[in-house]
Amino acid sequence: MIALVKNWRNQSKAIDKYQFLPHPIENKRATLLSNKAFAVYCILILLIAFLFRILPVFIPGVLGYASDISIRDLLESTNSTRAKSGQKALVLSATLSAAAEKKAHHMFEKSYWAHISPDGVEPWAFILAEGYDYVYAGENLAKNFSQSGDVVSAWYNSPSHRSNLLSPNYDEIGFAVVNGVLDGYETTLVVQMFGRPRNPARIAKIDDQEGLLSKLDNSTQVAPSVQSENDIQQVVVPEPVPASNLLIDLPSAIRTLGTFLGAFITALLVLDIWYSRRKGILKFNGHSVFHLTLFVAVLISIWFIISPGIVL
Amino acid sequence: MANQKGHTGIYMLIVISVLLILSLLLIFQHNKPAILILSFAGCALYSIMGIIHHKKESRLNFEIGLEYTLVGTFAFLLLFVAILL
Repeated sequence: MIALVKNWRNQSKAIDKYQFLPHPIENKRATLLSNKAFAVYCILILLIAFLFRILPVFIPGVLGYASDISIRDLLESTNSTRAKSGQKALVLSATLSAAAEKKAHHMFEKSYWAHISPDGVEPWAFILAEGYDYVYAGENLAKNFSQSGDVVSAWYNSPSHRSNLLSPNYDEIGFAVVNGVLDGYETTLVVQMFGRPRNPARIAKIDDQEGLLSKLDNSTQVAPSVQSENDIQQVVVPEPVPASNLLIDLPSAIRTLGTFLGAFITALLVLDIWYSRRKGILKFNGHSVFHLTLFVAVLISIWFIISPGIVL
Repeated sequence: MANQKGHTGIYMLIVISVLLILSLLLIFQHNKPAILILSFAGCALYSIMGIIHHKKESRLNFEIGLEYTLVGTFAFLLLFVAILL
């Protein structure tokens, strides 16, 4: 690539159409579709990936995952999914929601993403610490999702999470949606906790649910920064702006980069096929139509299949 | 004519493989290790199919082998970055 730029600078005539079109005399593809060019593209992607990995180490929170997740939507989506499978609706529990929130904060503070913390704290410890004596309990986790529906859909599509989601053993549910910096990336963690209290009289009342939902959804929780552990301060932001210090939304940046590179190669391949047929150029290389099929599939995957969210 | 038939056959095979991989990616959409393996398998399969096709046509040389390897690698890296970041 550097040689190419130098060539362009030294010889203005070098910026000819054969950078983009197949050469009729040399029977070669466009320079930008040559093997050297593909090697440069590969190195470029690796460098960008490395930059995205290393940047959060020096500037935590500059990259992240913006989201618009609400507890109301999570609850509705969970209960409608259960209804489709013939399961009763779960009632939102203030106690389980408090336990879920403490678990989310614990993950940010201790910098981990797991059901059991590195120092061995299990999910049940958070539930019991809130004084919730249970017969059955369960936990689902999610991060890097942008929409509530996608979170529940991802849990539903994973067999182990689905068994929690659709289990008839639970009466109550609690949620926490907490924003913070994890591994250098600004992100939103979603914790879903299920339970059946030992004493059935302690099951939350459906009439209290609306008040609780308003209270939970009107207070977006922001986890304290790990760096400022000596001065821990829980910030409650009254409006749902999830990624507070986010400068670059990582999934959007990756999708834009992938689309740009993929579309650039796709366009060059379309030009190659069209121009070669028009001019009757026989080239001694691989088939452009094959490559085109591959890159169209890659673009479809990047846009419609690969999502940034992870469930645990 | 025989050559054209050969191209149609391999092209159909590539299209079917691509559709199969896309369907599997959709099924395992939220399983990161699975989609990573599928993406790698799909891109590796593409490179191998291209090389075998040119070998059978006695048109395989170092440049063409390298081309399919680089194109497969580039496609995988695009997917890899989208999956892991």
